[in-house]
Amino acid sequence: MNGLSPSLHLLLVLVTPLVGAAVAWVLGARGRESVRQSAAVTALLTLVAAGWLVVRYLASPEATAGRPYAVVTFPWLVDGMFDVRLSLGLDGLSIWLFGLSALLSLTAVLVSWEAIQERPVGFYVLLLVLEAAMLGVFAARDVILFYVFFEFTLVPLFFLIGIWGHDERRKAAVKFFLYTLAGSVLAFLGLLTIVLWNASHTGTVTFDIDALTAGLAAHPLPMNAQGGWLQMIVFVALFAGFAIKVPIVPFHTWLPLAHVEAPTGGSVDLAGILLKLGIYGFLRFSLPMLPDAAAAAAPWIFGLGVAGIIYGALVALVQTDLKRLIAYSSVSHMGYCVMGLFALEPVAVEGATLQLVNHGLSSAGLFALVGMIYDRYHTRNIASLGGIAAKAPWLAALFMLFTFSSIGLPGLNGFVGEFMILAGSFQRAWAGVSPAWQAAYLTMALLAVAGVVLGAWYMLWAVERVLFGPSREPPQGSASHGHDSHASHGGHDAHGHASHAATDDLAWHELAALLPLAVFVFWIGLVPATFLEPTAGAVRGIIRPSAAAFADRMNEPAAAVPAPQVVAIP
Amino acid sequence: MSLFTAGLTAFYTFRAVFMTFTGPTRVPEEAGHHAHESPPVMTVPLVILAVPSAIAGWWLFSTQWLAHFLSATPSFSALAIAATATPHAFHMDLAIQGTLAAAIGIVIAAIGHLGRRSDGPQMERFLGPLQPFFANRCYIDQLYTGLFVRPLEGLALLAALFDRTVIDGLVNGFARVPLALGGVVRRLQGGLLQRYALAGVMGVLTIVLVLAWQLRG
Repeated sequence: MNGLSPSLHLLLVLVTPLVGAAVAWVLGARGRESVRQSAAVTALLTLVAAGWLVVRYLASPEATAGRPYAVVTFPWLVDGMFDVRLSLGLDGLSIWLFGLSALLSLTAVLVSWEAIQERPVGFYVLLLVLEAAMLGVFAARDVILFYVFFEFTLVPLFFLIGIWGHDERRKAAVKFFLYTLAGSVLAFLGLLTIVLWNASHTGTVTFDIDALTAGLAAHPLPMNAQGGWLQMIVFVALFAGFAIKVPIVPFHTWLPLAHVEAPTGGSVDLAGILLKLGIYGFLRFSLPMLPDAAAAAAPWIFGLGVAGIIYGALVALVQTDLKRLIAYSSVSHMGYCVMGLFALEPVAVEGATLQLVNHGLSSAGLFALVGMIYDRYHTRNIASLGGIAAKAPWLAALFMLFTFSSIGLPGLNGFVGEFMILAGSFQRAWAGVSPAWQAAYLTMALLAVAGVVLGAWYMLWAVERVLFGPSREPPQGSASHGHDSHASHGGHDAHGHASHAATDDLAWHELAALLPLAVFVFWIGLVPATFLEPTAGAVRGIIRPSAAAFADRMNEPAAAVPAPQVVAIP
Repeated sequence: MSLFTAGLTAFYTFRAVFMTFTGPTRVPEEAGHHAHESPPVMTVPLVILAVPSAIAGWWLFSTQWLAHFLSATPSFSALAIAATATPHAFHMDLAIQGTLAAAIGIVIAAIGHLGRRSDGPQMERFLGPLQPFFANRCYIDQLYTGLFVRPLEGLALLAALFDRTVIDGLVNGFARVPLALGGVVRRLQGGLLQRYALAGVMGVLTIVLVLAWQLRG
């Protein structure tokens, strides 16, 4: 059916989850079975459609030319100085994340198959709306749609965590929502400033990302005292929004709580996709539109990235809750992406972009598996678990696979991204900074390498305790639902009891949820070029202005001292 | 140094061989009353490995095959590691010394253990006060634990504490600000009509006074 125009195809992919949500809602009257089946069918259809679109993109001439593909434009207000259109499209930067969103949504639906007993209609509807929002963020090519979808990812997740989560779900949902919202409101202010600046200098009010990028390249925001350091202020505003989402330490404290309390399906989407929105925002907006500010801030944010790696790893080391440990490992791994991004070195940034996909796969897999363990044992306490490999070898095998992927074992996907990030960072540290900065950059790069060791440490320790060793089975069905149950629980236990015997190995839906992820773990690890090539052009174009600005800064003498004026003394 | 190590290697290898294979039979209870030969699936691969092991040394030395093979390594030629041609005589010299060291080691092992009942305490007595040092693998494990593992674990605990109290404390503190402000502002809305009426009258009075002042001045 190659007669289907790419634009229509894209719209179809975006609309399918919404239609599916409506169908699931209608079928709600017929019971849990119909709802979850229709949700699975919808997610599968969306995945097929999205996958097909990705394949078409890769074969398209736009991909090689570096132009956006499958562009959809709705003129909204085109009159005189207004050129406001709502536009969608895909390019090298968003293509893999777009596909990943569709893939992980299927995983989320399958992982929740047995776990969600109460109010399944609401759950699957929200999950599908979330899918539409995630697909929309990556497809958005104008600021308004980007921001709308960006915020739209928060709303379903708020309810998913708040209603179907674990013991402290209300607190987790509220904290997650308010914290992320506060940041993204500031980011929106920054984006509006960019739009208005562009409007005042080019005469057209447009929200189109390409137009804004070009406009700001021609008329950059001031980065000096006369202009009020406007570019830096806008950068900080955008930073507020994106840094909280990444999350960059120290703005990360919403994450452990949100992840631990979220239902497994919510965690899969949260870790797999939503964390990527922050880095994606930096790549789409901060780096191309605010290159001088980005270059000025790069060393500091690079440092924050490294700090995040070490800090996240250290805190993960002492966790007693398996899910919390993996949540902090997410903080640590996103530190690599931040570090790679703000090294402003092509290899590093490409690695960081790939690592977004890699981390999405591995942490989604890990959270899914933790959920499966929880379904069986009703605890995530590492001390209470043990010897699972003997009882559920497939579960253990896949857990090991995603652990190795997360650690960065060569041959698997994590290694490619990590290696490129580290290589690029060392390149930057060795040859790309002024002598004054060299010691600092080298130290940070070395610390990041040490972070790899720490990552292996806590993951393998956890895996050893939980999967191997003597078999420990916590008491079944007793008060081992996580930790402190508050008296003001609000009624029912939202997740109910999964119908697993503790010794069951993976059921069909759990295997189906994980195997596609495993396939990509191997594929990206063994043939990374397939995934790196489409993004290379887009990424290099994005970092060119900031990398150039950074190079300028590094070549400048430390303090630009004006030449002394010779005063003739009569 | 390397000669000593060669001798030592021969010594401990053959100590184990002599202790295991010679002397009076001692078999642990679980194995029944006698040890039995391994099945072919284990012995055949060993034979396959043993034959090359026996002849490899002589063959490699006489043909210098490995030396030629390794000298073709790209990095060697790139770094211009000069292939030093050591004279044949020097090779033989070293070879004889090494063999002698190994032979001495074997002989010492034989003296101690050939045919005799295996003697654990004999080794301990020989090492004397140094025995615990070697038995604990030169305390390297403990050194690593003390130097790296424990400090990092301590640091990790500190980090976790910092995360819970300081960072999260700041975030939650931020959240308390609107609550506190609200608590203060809330008091303005007492619900008492008289207060609202009074506020209204005061407001009107203020406006009138200000206007009057403006008009006069």
